[in-house]
Amino acid sequence: MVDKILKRVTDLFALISIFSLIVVILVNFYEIINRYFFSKSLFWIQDFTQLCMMWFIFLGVTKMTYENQDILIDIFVSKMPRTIRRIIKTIVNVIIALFSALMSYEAYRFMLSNWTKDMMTSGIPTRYYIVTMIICFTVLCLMYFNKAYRELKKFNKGGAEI
Amino acid sequence: MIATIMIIGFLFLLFFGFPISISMGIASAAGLFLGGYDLSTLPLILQKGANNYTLIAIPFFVLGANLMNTGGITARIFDFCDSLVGWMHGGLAQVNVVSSIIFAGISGTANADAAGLGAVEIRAMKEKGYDEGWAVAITLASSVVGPIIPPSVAFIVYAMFAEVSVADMFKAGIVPGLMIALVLMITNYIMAKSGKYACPEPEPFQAKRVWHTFRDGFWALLAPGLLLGGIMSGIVTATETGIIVVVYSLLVGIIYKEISLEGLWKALYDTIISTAVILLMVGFGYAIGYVLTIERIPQALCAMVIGLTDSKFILLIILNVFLLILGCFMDNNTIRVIMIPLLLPIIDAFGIDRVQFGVIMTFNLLIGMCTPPVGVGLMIMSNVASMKIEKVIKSFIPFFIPLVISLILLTYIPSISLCLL
Repeated sequence: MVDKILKRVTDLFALISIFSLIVVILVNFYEIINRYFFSKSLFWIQDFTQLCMMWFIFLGVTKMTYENQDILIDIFVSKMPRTIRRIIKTIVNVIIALFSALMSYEAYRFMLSNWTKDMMTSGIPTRYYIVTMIICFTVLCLMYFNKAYRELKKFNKGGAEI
Repeated sequence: MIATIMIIGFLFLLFFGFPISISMGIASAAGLFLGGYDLSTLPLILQKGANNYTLIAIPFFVLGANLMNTGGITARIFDFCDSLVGWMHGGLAQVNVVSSIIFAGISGTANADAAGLGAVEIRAMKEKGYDEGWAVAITLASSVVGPIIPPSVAFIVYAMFAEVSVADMFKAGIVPGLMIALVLMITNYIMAKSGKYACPEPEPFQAKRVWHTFRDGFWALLAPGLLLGGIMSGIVTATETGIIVVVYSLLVGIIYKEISLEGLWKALYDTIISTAVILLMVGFGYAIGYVLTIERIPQALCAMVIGLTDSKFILLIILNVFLLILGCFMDNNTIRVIMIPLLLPIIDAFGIDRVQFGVIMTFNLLIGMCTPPVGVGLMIMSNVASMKIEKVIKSFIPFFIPLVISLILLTYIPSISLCLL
């Protein structure tokens, strides 16, 4: 059940992420044409591009993590006996979940302290940028707790033999 | 003390299988906590690092390369190069190098080269009866040209951390990239002539075939020229170049009628996955760099190195050996984001040009990735070609030596990198 929800959520985030990338490409291409051929420029383009890229990066991270595409070095852990490997994996997942919760909380505090601030040039509220980190790390927290829970379940189902 | 705990903690987390980006995040959070700094600065630094305006070009170059691979551009580049240099001794091995140069002029990563062109090259060489080890080794060796010839994701990351112009880094990569390619082609020639490797007789040169493949691949072949022209003339910025790459690749894919909606979706999806990994890593790497800087570690390291030697010549040897060893074990971007802030005061103190050092560092780490016996590139190739790692290593040695010679030349002759600036 939780797996299904996480899959749906990260699929939706991947869609938003791709949409943000497409918007950035289209808007910036329009800007290039406008600037070089019509000597006009969009004053808000840099702030808007960075806003879209925040949504692209941090929502993309959730999909990348869900698909287990993050880069890690597992040659040492993979050489260990299965029981120890599972214990290590469970602990690793719990630690990452706790770190993600901390990041989410700190990003929330950061957002509150910047609640009334806007970007200088475009006037886009800075909270629109920061909220992506809160969403990203909250989902990562749930994802890693779920991974830890799944490892524990495997462990209880007789995965303890070496 | 805080920095030591942070670096040891980072390595400890890596050892236990934590993702590299998260390891950096936890290590930098620990560094901030131990130093008594407010942890809420971490999201601010992460945002600054991951969302730096210079880095925004990265997804564009990655997407551009993915679109090239799905839009039939890669195969056309290969066909053209085959007709152009296939008549030389070492035929397809030479094609392998020249294709990588042209593809490097459009794509920004070694991965895109290996994933798109590499598979085509190995398959073609095997089918024509070339020594399998040679096919794998030259594919690996020629993939290092990718991040040296502009556009280059590695150069963008370096430029951001070293605070140099991306356009200057791109210009600085052109001559070294061509030099490395020439060295690889000479090695191919010597190997083909030696008779020790299975190598079919080269086919005669046919101007008609060159014309046909050129006509067929015209739009694909025009891309590197347009991009280099744009960058060299300063008409467009690096980020704008990335956008033009994407739009152009898409248009060429449509002209060739090889890009489907499914292919477009896959290219976009793959871009999210590979870019998210890099940008999160850079973001947390920026946080590690921040803690190291406020703890004044780069300055302390610089003083220590100056105490050891005052010779630029020896310093460059030490740095090269150190980076080669690191490159064997760790991901290139990880090394870049951690080491650049540490090394910059040292290279500044010794009067080494930051742009030249960027080229040296990028090339060095790429060689490290292919360095026997533990380089990650060797393992990837062993996996891709289903070949024993021992055989990959043995086959790669003839290319390793010329690559190291090229590195020495780049290190001690600055004008190779700086002549176009």
